[in-house]
Order: sequence, then structure tokens, then C-alpha cells
Amino acid sequence: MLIRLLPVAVLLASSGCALLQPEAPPPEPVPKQAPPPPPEPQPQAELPPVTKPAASARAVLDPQPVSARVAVVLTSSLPAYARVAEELTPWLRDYRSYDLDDRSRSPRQVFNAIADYQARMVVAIGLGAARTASTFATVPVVYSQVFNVSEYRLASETTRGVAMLPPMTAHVDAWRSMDPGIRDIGTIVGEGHEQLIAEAERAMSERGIRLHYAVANSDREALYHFKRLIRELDGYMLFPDNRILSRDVFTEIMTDAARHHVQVAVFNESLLKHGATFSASAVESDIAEKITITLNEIAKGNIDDVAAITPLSKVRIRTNPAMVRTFGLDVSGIDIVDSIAEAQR
Amino acid sequence: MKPWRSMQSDLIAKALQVWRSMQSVSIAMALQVWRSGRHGARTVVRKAAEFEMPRLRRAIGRIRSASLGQTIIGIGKTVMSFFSLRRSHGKRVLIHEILSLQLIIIAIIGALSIAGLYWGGQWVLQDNYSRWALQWTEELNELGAPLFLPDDSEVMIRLESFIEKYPEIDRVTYYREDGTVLRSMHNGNPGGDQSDDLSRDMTDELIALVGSESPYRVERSFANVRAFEILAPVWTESLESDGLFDFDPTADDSRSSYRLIGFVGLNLDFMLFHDRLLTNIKIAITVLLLLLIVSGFLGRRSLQRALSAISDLQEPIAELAKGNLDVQFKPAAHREISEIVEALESTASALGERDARLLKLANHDVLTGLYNRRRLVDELKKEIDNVTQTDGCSSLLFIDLDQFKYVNDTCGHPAGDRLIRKVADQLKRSVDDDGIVARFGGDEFAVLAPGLNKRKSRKLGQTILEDMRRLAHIENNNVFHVHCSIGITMITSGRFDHNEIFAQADIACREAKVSGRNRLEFYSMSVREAERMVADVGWMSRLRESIDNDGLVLRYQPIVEISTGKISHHEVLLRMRGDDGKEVAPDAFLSAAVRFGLMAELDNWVVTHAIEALAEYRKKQPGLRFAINLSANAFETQNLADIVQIHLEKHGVPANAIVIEITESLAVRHLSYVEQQMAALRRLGCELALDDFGTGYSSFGYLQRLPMDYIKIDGCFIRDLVRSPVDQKMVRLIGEIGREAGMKTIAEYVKDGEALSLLGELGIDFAQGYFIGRPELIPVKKAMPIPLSAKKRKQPKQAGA
Repeated sequence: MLIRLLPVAVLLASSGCALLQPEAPPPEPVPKQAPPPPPEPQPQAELPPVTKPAASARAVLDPQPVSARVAVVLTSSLPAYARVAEELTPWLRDYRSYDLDDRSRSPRQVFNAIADYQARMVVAIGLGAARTASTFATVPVVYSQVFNVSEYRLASETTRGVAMLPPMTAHVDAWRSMDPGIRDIGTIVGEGHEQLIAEAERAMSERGIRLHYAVANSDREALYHFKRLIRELDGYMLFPDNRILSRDVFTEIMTDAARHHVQVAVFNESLLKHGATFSASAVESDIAEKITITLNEIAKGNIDDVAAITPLSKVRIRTNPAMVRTFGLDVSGIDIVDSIAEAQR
Repeated sequence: MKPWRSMQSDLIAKALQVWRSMQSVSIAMALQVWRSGRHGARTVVRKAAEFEMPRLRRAIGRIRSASLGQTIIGIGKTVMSFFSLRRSHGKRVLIHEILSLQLIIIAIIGALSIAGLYWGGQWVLQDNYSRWALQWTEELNELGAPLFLPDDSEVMIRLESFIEKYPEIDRVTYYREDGTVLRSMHNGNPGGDQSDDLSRDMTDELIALVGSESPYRVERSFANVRAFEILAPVWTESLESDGLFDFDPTADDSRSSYRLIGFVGLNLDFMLFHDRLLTNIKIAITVLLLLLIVSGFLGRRSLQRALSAISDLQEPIAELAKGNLDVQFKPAAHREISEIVEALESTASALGERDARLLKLANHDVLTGLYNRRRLVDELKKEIDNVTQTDGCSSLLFIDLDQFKYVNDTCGHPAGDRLIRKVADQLKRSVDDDGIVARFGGDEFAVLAPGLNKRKSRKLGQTILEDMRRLAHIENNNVFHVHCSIGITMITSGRFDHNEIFAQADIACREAKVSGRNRLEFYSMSVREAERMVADVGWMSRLRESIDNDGLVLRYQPIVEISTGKISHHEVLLRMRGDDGKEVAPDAFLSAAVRFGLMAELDNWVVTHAIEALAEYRKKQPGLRFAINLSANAFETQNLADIVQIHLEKHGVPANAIVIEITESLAVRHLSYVEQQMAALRRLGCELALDDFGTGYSSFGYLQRLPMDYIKIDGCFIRDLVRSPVDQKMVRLIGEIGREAGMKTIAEYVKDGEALSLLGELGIDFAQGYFIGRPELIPVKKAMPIPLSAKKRKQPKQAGA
């Protein structure tokens, strides 16, 4: 048994998933009809050790205001970024905000200013800010709202992140709550999301759901895989991987899903109107809390104890009433409009 | 219409004869087989031709050309015969035109439908081909994606199974980014032609299509709509935005990046589908044609049924046109046709009434209501035929009133008319059913008594005589007893024609008059009478011939003004050219013309030719004028003035160049008609002359009623004028009366200068006679010199007056 659990434990440990519980049962072996197992995670030597669960749990429960001087850098004024900043700044006692969309200063000049400001930490919101910060910042950086972390090699000893997606367990719980009969869920992601796949597979398998997944390198490939998978699925989980998702492919996916009577969970509530069944997105306040906790840990000099990516604990579920009716979903267990569910684990 | 196959069979039969004559037995046999239409006959011909190929080719060429030519001729003849059938007596037939129009419309609709179906089908086909081709290209694009990306062992299986599903896909080729062939697959033919690499230009062109709305390049041939070649770039697309927070699948922004990974080429041939669809189209066309034919046939029947009401009218209308007024029209169901039928029936009825009226007018005497001369002639002809066929016996009674002129002269014309009507009534009563009573003209009647022998005819004649003797006519408190003379001739065979029969009866009647009047006489042919009758009949025949062949001649005798010696006008005198070339005076044939009813034609001939001649002569003698003699018959014609006017206008002769002459006796006898006609002629502009004045009734009272311009003193007063004081008194009196009445006087038969001088003294205005000028073929311009004595004698008198 231990021999069978060992690869999973190594896998989870290497993925830095803060939500993984040591006492959690290992995933069931993949049945024969299950899709091929995820590829082996690429070695990430530069990643810090997995965050201690106790610390993480405590952090979740008790965010404290940050006294250290912090520079908040936004990739742009996109609402998804701005709302996180809005939720974050109340936790910061001494901070300045910078918007990289402001063309009056180059990124270098922004970070020169940050240096002049003598910020002790930088909070980068969005991929642009995260990449710029990882390049120019001389102080620890906490980034958020980035999906393809490995694609842009953001992880470093002075860099820590907060997950962009809501916890998979909460996501799956909500789904199962709405449709207890769901059995097969599929997803397609680009390379570098082995941890995400593992988390999802574990969360689903614990709830008696099979995850069918494929790794694609392009939208065309994603579509190709999708059309192979679609006949076996009850639901499809769409991740915001911009590398493998084009508008045409999205449209095809939605069309095919409808044609095959497959529920689609999307990452953005704005996609509900395109035929998605429900959306599961992160809660900005949750992100802000996780950033605050991370900043405090770094300020305390415990950066090594902080996970490379701190998982979120809440999920915002929004449903498409039409699709709910179509699929006969039971939404009594969640708030139809805006359900924020705490991750069970 | 000869069927085309039958024509072809005939042609081949002719060809067989040729070949037999050429003693080419093998080919002849083959052709015979071909003619029989057996399966494989062409093969037999071909085999036979191996022996005599050159001759066969020539023969078949001849047959084909002959067949083609004959076919074209046959079709032409058929079409012509079709249209000839469609015409009736060279005129267009409405119903046939409507039916032909229907056929043409059906043909046009059919042609348009077939053309539309064909071209529409082609268009739909090509459009569908394009759509399918593009759809397949997209699917192959997607299916072939793994060829460019991760290695997927199943991809080839999927591709092949996909291709196999569509036999229209001939070949699928995947190319690398640089245009070199990555994988090429033939549908059902793995060893087929390999695809070539794409040229640099082609790859550049295809690369430019990446991300466009129509990312493919289609090559199609208009000559072969079934074949397509499609080339499309294969690329991947990714969004720039990490996390896709602002992802909007409907937004048309360019925040995507494309990566070309290769190309896919698709060769399609829709031959099977095309052929199948074309077969369906052909079936559809056949069905459409059948439907058109059926609908055309039904429409034609419906039209024929609808138009049958018109067709049904054709025969009755034709009968109506032939004069059959008793024709019956079928009752029509349609309102319009019904109205036409009613109108036709009304027309037929009106025509019948008009015919009856005209027939009555044509066959009956207006005054008495008895049959007229024309009808009597018809009846007599029938009776002659009847007698000839049955060897029977009939008789013709010619009745002439003895005292009619006396009544007419003393009591006036209306009294004469009343007497005539009374006599007619009496005759009808006397004859009763024994015969047909007709008024022959004037105071002459005739009775045709069919089936009466001589004894019965005599009895009938005596009955008429007795009844007439008892007839008393009271007029102005005077009682008149009008007796009659009757001439009877028996009709016992077809030896004599109707003219001769009339002549016989007339002769017998005159014999009765000569014998003392108020009696009857049977015609018995004495030598003299026979000769006369023969002569009359002979004149009639010669006159008939002369009228028909222009054997009549006009001569022009000048009439001069005595005081000036200038020619006033010429009297037109009629002559008939005799067999010996000599001209015959009208005295010889006029009686025959009157008796045999030729006066109307004679008058017409004279008017026509005189005016025509006047027009011709007036070109050289502009002031030339003619005096034309007409019979009373002409004045009985109601449209005399119209006839004269037509001829005047035709030849451009002014009406005042014409003087119409009528004898006093005729004018008085038919006074009522003459008055009307004279008035019409005067309105036209013609002048009028009263001829032979003084010999007839000499009632000067008539001069007041007759609006004359000239009085022509009869020659009997002129011939002995110099020696006869009575004649001189008479001429002087007439001259004075004429002047008083505003008329000019003309003296005829002036034969010497002494008479002319005397006439001048007596106050006569014009003179005519041999002394002045003889009748000439051409109007003379100058008359004979007038003796001075005439002028000298007249001038003082005129001055004194």
C-alpha cells in the first residue's frame, strides 16, 4: 500500500499543493478505461519545500495586517486585478500601488521607483506584473492571478504565489452538489499543470468521479482531444489556459458539449452566457487574505516555510439557469447567484 | 405525321436496295439486321464492315446524310402540314391559335423548367460540393492536427477511416510548414500518384490566409464542376491573455497569436455523386416533362372543351354565311357565347326578314304586289323545264289593257295607278289557283297557267275577259270600263325558250288588238310572225352579245345655237355594229331590248361609255358637252343620279357637261319616278332635255312639272316646216311656250338651210340635223356654216322682242 501511495505523495509534495492533507487517502488507482495517467512532473529543484500544513491552516484562519512597506504592482486595471488590489490594500499599512498599464513609466522605471520607495515586498497582480517583478524586483515578490506559472518560470527563492483558481475540492463539491450523478469529468490543459491535474484527479476520485484529461500543445490539439473525449464525459472543466484556447475552439467546445449533453464548468462567470453550466472562480477577498498571510510570513523571515503557491480556500459558484434547467441540476445546496463555498480541506 | 422511326426504316430500306444492287451481300445483311433493330445489330454491321470498310463508310455516310436530310425535310413537312392543318382556307383559326399558344407556352415553360432545373441543379451541386469540400477540409484539418503535433498512432487510422467514408475524396495531402509533403493518402488507391511539394509561391499564398475568414484556396474547373482541389493552411491559435480574465469569445480583437504548422490539401472528385444526382435530375426532368405533357394534354382538353362553344358556332355560322337562315344554333352554356348565339339568331332572323323583304321587292311589282317580270321569267323557265320533263302542257297569257292610257291621260297618273291595282286584283280573282299572275310592266300583265291545255287556257282567257268587261272603274265621277286584249301561247315542249314564249304571247296579244281588242287570240305562227319573232330574238341575242363584247358604238351629232352657229353640245347616238360591219340604228333593236328586258343594261352601257368618252374628248375640247338619251327604265332606277355621279367623278367630268334626254312619252308615262330622278340630276348639276316633244301627249301642263332645260321639238314638225304653215305655227308655239317656261328649244331633223333660217325666224334656239352635222365617231369642233339669212331674220325679231 505504501508503495502505491509513494508516487502520489511525491507528486503532491512536488506540486506544492497547500490543500493536500497528509491524512488524506491516496487516490484510487486509475481504472482501465481511465485516461492515461498524467505525465511525470518536471523536476522543479528551485521550488521551496512544501508548506507546512499547520502553518498554512493557521494562516488561513488568521490573516494579520502587514506592517512592512509593500509595493502593489498591477499588470493593468483589469477588474480581476483591481478587485484583488482593493481587497488587499486594507490589509496593508504602508503601501504604494503601481499600474504597468501606465505608459508614462516603463517597467524598469516603475521598479526603480519601488526601490526608491524602499518597499520591502512587492505584490504583483497578474502575469505581466509577476514577470516584470521577477525580473526587476530586488525584494521578495508575491504574485497572484497567474495561471501558467511554470510556463513563465516565475518560481524562485524570493518569489511566492497565490493560486489563481479556487480549490478543486470546493469546485468538485459544488458540482457534485448540483449533480450527484456526475461520473465522468474531462479537461484539457497545456503543459506544466501536472499539479493541477493531480489535485483535480484526487478531488474527483475521492468523490467517485473519473477524471479524463489530456495535455495539449495548441488549440487545434485541444480540440482534437476534446472531440475524442467528449463522448465519454458527463461534464467538462474548462481551465483558463490561454495557450490552448482560442475563440474558435471555445465555441466548438461549447457547441459540441451542448450537442453531447455535457455540462461545462468555466473559470469565468462571463462565459455563462455562452452556454456554460456554471462558473467556479476565485474569491478576491480570499486571494487578498492569502497574499496578506504570505506577506506576513515573508516579513517574519519565514519565506522558506511558505509554499511556492498558496492555494485558495473559497470558490464562487455561479450558475446558468437555463443550463441548470437543461441538465436538471439541483442548486438548492448552493447560492444560485453567488455561492462561495469554503474548501472542506 | 410519319413517325421518325418509320422514316428511318424507309431510308435504310432504300440503302439496302443500293447495297443489293452493289452486290455487297454481307453489308446488306448487316443493314438488314440493323433495320430489324435487334440487339447487337451494330456489331454485326461492324463485323460485316471489316470486309468492305471503305465502301461501308461511304454508304453509312450517305445513309446518315440522307437520313439527316430526309429527317429535316420530314420534320419541315410535318411542321408545315401541322400549320396547314391549323389554317382553314388560308386564314388563321382563333381556336387553333389559342391551342398552339398553349402548346408554345407549355413548351417554353418546359424548356425553362428543364434549363432551370439543370442549371439550378448544377449550381446547387457546385455549391454543395464547395460546402462539403470545405467541411471536409476543416475536418481533415482537425483530424490531421496530430500529424504536426504529438505523434498519435491512431491518427492515420482515423484519417483513413474518414477518407474511406467519402468516396468523393480522391486524395488528402498534409504538408509541412515549408510545403514539403508530410503525408499523402489516396482513397482506395494507396499506390496512387504522390503529391508534389507545394511551391514557394503557393506556400506564401497559403500563409497569407492564416487567420482569415476564408482560410482556404479552392481550385475548381468550370469544365468539370465535379473536381475540386482545396489547399488550406494548418495553424494553431492561442490567446495572449494569461488567465483569460477578460476572455470574450465573441470579441473581435486581435489578441491572438497564430502559428503555422503546415498545410492540408484535398483533391475531390464528385463523379459518383454527380452522376447519381444528374441521374436524379434527368428523372426529375422526365417526370417534369411527363407532368407538363399530361397537364398540357389536360389543359388542351379543357381549352378545347371551353372553346368548343366557339367551335360549335363555326358550322352554323358557315351555313349562315351560305345563306341558310334556318340554321339552328346550339344553346351555349357560357354567358359570352350565349350572347353571341342570341346575337347570331337575331341577325339570322333579321337577315331572314330582310331577305324576305328583298325577295319580295325583287320578285314583286311594287304597285300591285303581283309577281314582276323577273319572277315571271323564273317561273316560266321552271315551267318550260317541267313541261319538257313531263310532256305536259301549259300556257302563257299576255294581257294588255285597252283603255289604260286614256284613263291615265284624263285622270292623271294616280288614277292610272289605282286602275292598275284594281285590274291586278281582278286578275288574281279571275285566275285564282289556275296560274300565276304577273305585272309585266305598264299596263301589261301576264298569266302563267301551268298544266292548262289549250281548251282550259281559252276558258281562263275568256273568264278574264268577262271579268274585265264587268270591271268598272270610277274616277272623278266618271265610270271607265277597261277592257283588255289577251294573247295566249301554249307551252308544250322545250323547243322555245322563255324569250320566245314571251314573244309569242306578245304577238298573239297584238293580234288580238289588231283584231279589234277586247278579245283573245292564240298564237299561231305564221311565216311573217315567225320571221319577226325570230328577228326579235335574233336582235336580242345580237344585242346581248354587243353589250357583253362592246359591240355598241357611240356617235356624236352636233347641236348648234342658231343665232351664233356655235356648237352647244352633241347628242350621243347609239349604234350597233352589224355583222357586215355596218352600223345598225337603235330603231332596229330597241324594241327587242325593251321586250327582252335589256334596256337597263343598255342605259348603263351608254352612260358609262358616254361619260368616259366625254372625259377623253374634253382633254382636247374642254367645253365639250354631251346629251345622253336614256330610257324610262333608267329613270325607274332609283339611284340613277348616283350612278351618273359615280361616273362623272370617276372621270373628272363636271355634271354641267351632261344633258340627259328623255322622251316626252316616257316622261309622262312614269311621271312620278321621272320627277324624282330629274330633281336628283338637276341637284347634281346636269341639264335635262325633253325629247320628241309634240308627238306624245303634248300636254303643256307637264312642262310645268318637269324641270327641263331643253325642249327638243319632234322631227315630224320640222321635216315639212318650210312647206307646212301648220308646222310653222306649232313650232312657233312650242318656241314661245319654251321661252315662257324658261326652257330652250331644239329643233331636230334640220335638213337644209331654209328650214334652219325659218327656225331662227320662229324663235327656236338650237338646231340639230344632217344640215348641221351628221352623227360622227368623234365630236366635230365646227358645225356646217349657218346661212346668214337665219341670223338676219332672227336678230331684228329678237331686238323687237
